[in-house]
Amino acid sequence: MTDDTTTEDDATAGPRNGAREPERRADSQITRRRALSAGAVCLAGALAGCASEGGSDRPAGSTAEGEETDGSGTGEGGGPTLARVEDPPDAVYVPTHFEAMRHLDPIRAGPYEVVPMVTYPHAFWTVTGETVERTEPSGAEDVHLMVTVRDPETKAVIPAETGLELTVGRESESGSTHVPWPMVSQEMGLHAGDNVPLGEDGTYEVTVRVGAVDARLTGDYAGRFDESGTGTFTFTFDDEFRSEVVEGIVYVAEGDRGRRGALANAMARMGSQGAEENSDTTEEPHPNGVERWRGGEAGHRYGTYERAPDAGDLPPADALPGTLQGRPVTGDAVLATTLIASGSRFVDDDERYLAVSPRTPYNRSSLPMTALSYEQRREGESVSSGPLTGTLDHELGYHYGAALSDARTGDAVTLTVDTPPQAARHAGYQTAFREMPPVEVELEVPE
Amino acid sequence: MTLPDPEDRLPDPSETPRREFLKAAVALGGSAGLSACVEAPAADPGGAADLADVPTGDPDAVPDRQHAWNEALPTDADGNVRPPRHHVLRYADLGFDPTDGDERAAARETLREALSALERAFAWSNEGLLFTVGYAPAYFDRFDASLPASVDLPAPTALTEMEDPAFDEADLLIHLASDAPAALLSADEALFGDAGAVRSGDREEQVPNLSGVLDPVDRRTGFVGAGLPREHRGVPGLPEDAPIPEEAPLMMGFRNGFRASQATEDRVTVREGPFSGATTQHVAALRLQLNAWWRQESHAQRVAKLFSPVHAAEERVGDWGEKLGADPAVADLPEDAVAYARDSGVVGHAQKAARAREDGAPLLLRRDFDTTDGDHAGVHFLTNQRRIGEFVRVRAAMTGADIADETAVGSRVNNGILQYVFVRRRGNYLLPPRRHRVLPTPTPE
Repeated sequence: MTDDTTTEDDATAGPRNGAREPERRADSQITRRRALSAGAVCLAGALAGCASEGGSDRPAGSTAEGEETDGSGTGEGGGPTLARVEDPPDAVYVPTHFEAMRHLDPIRAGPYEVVPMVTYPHAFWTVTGETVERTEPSGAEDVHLMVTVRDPETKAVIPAETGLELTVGRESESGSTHVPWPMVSQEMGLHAGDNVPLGEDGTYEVTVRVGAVDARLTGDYAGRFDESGTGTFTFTFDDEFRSEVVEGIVYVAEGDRGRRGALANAMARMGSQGAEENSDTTEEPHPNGVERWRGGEAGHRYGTYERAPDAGDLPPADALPGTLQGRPVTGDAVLATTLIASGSRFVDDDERYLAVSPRTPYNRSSLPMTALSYEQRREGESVSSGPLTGTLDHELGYHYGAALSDARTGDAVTLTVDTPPQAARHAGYQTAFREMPPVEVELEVPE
Repeated sequence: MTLPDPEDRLPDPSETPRREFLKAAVALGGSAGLSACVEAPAADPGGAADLADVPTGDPDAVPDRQHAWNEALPTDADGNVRPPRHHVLRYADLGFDPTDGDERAAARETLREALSALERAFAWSNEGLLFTVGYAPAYFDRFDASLPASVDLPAPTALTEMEDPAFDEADLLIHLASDAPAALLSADEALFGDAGAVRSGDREEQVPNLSGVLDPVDRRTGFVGAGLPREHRGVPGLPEDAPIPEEAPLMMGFRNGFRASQATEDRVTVREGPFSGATTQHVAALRLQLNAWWRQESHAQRVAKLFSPVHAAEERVGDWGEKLGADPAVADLPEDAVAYARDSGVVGHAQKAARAREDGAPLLLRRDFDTTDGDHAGVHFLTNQRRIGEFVRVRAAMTGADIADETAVGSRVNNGILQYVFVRRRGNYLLPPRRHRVLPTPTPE
C-alpha cells in the first residue's frame, strides 16, 4: 500500500498536557469567520493549551484578524505545539482527542432516518483503492457536516451510500450539492461527511437525499430500503456554534494517545441506553490480542470498551444468527464469520449461507465498500470459491455472503480481502484496515 | 424575467482579462452583452474581437448534415478537433399553431430566411458561426403522424437511480457556437432580440425577427477552451484556489474529446428514411461540485477517477492530458471491469465509458462545454449519436451499477467522477438534415 499518511494525529490535535481549560472563552477571538475557518483547529489547541504550553498565554486566534494559521500545528508566533501520535501502530489506536459536535434532531427522508451532526472542519483520510491520503481543511471550508442514516424503527445504521447527497445553502436559496464521503470514525461509527464551505454567518438549510441501499436486501429489509427519500434540516452557523464545537473538545491523557484501543462510540449519548452502551464487563483479550484497558477524561471513555450487545452498527460476533465459525482478524478488522443452516431466507432451500461481517474492533462499526471473496477447501482440494455479496439484513446487519451447497465440518475456508474498506477514515482508523492478508476459518457444521 | 443591469454583471473591461470579459458578455447576452462585446478592446486569441473581422459566409458551402462541424473546426497538434470556445443554447416553443397550414407556411418562411441570413453573414466555422436546430419529441407529438422507425427519439427519462432530473420539453433547441463572442451574440440577438440584422466583415444581413414563430423558453450559455475554466474559479462549485492548468479546457482540469474516443460524424448519422443525414442530440444540464475534487483529491486520485488507476500508476496522462495525444489509452485496460475493480477498488470514468464501444468504435460524439449558469459550476453535456438508445447504453456503462454491486467501488465514491456530477435536466432532440431543418413534419417529403 502507498503510505503517505503522516504520523500527525490530525489538525485538531491538542496540547501535550491534554488538560481542558473551559474557563478560557473563545468568543473574543471568534469575531471573524475567516480567521477561524482555517484556524479553528489551532484555536482549539490554543484554547486548551496556550496557558500551559511554553509559558505563552496568547491563543493562536488572537493573531492579527484574518491572519490564518497554517493548520499544521507549528503555529505562528509561538502558538501551541500540536500533539502528535508519533509512529502510530498499523492498527486501530486512540487519537489525541474527542471531537465536539452539535447533534441535530433526527429527520425522516423517505424510508430512512437521518441523524445530522455538524462540527469544525478537520482532517480525514480518503481511501482510493490501496492509497490512503490525508485531506486537510483548505481554509475555505466552514464546517464538517455529517449524517448517519438509520432504520427509523430499530435505529440500526444503514450503509446508504448510494446516491447520498447533501445540498447546502442559505435558507430558501437553492444551495450547492455535495456527495459526502462514507466514513468511519471511532466516536461516530459509520457515517457520511465532508468539510463544506458555507459563507457568511446565518441559518443554513441542508436537503439530504438518501438513495437506495447499494446491497442485496434480506429479511425485514427486503423491499424497505430500495427507494430514495429526501428530508431537510437547518443549522445555525455563528460564533456560538463555533465556540461550542471548539470548547467541547476533550483531550485524551497524553500517555494513552497512540495506544491500541479506541474512543468509545459517542452515539451512545444519543441513544436510549446512555453510557451503558459502552460495556466493560469482559476481561478476555480482544481477538486481535490486545489486553483490556480503560481510560477516561471528562466523562468520555476510551480504551478497549466493547459496545453493549444491543448497541452499535452490528451485533457482537457471538450474537450473530447461525453457528459462529470464528473471529479472524486481518488489518485489525474482525471478520466475524457465521454459517447459517439450510432453509434460511438467504439462499435456496438445501444450501447453507456463509456470512462474513467485517467490523472495527471495540466499537463494532461496519466496514462497507470492501470486496471479499472466499475459497472452500477439503483435504487440499478446492470445493467452491467466489465473491461474497454485500448484503443488508435486519439480523446480520451489513455483511458479505455466499451460498455453500456442500459444507462439511473440517473444511477450510479462506477469506480474501480483494479491496480493503474504501470508507474514508477519521483519526485512529487511518493506519488500520489496509494491509489485510487472507485469513482462514475451519468450518464447524452442526448436524 | 428581468435581466440584471449589465453594469452589475459585467466586470470592468479595463481591469479584466479580455477573454474573461467576453465570456461574461456571452453569459449576459442581449443587446447589452453584444454591445459590451463589440466595444471590448484588444485582441483575443480565441476569436475575432470585432464583427468587422468575422469572416462572412456562403450558404452553398454549408454541409447538409447540421452536425458536420469537424471539417469546419481547427485541430490541435495531436489531431483532436478543437471545439468552439463559446456557446449559447436557446430553448423555444412554437409561437403558432403548426397544424394550421397557413400559419406553418408563414413561420417556415420566416425561420428559413433567418437561418439563411446567418449563413450568409457568418462563415461556417469556429471563426464565424456554427449552429444547429433540434426538435424535441414534444414537437413531433404535435402532429398526427409518427416519426419513422429510422429515427429513435424517445422523450427524456431519468437514466440512473441517483438522479431526479427535470425534463426539457420545449419544442426546439437552437445551439449557437463560435470562438467570436461578438458573432455569437449578434446571431442570438438577431434571432431572439430586436437587432433585425447581423453584421460581419463589410456585410449586413437583414434577419427577420422570430417573434410569433418561436417563443423563448430558456437561454443557457457555456464555454470550453484553454484558460477559460481558470477564470471562473470562485463560482460556487469551483474553488477559487483550484489549481486548474492553464491549458486545461474544462473545470475538472483535463482535456477530453480525444479523437480515438469520439464517434465519427458518420457513425452518429441517421442512415435511412426521410431524415437520412440527421443525428440525435442529448443535452443534459449537469451541476459540478468540485470542492473535494480540487481540495481533497490528489492529482493521482483525479487521474485514477477520470481515466483509470492504470493511468495514475503509469503516469500516462500528464498535467492536463497532454501526454495522451489523440487517444485516452483505454483500449489496453482489462476487459472485465468488474474483476479489475475488485482488485483496484476504484474505476475510472473513461475506463467505464469505453465498455460501451461497438466493435471498438465509440458511439457518442461529445460536444459538451462547461457553464456557470445559475451562478454555479456546471456542464452542458451535449452529445450526438445515431440513436438516443445508444446514449442510454453508454450512460448505463458510465453509471457502473454492475461494478458498484460487485466490488468495493461505491455508487458514487471511487466510481469515476460520479461523486462530483449531478444531473439536473435532460432533453432529447432530432437534428434533421439541413434540407429539413425548418419546422419539419414527422414525415418530410
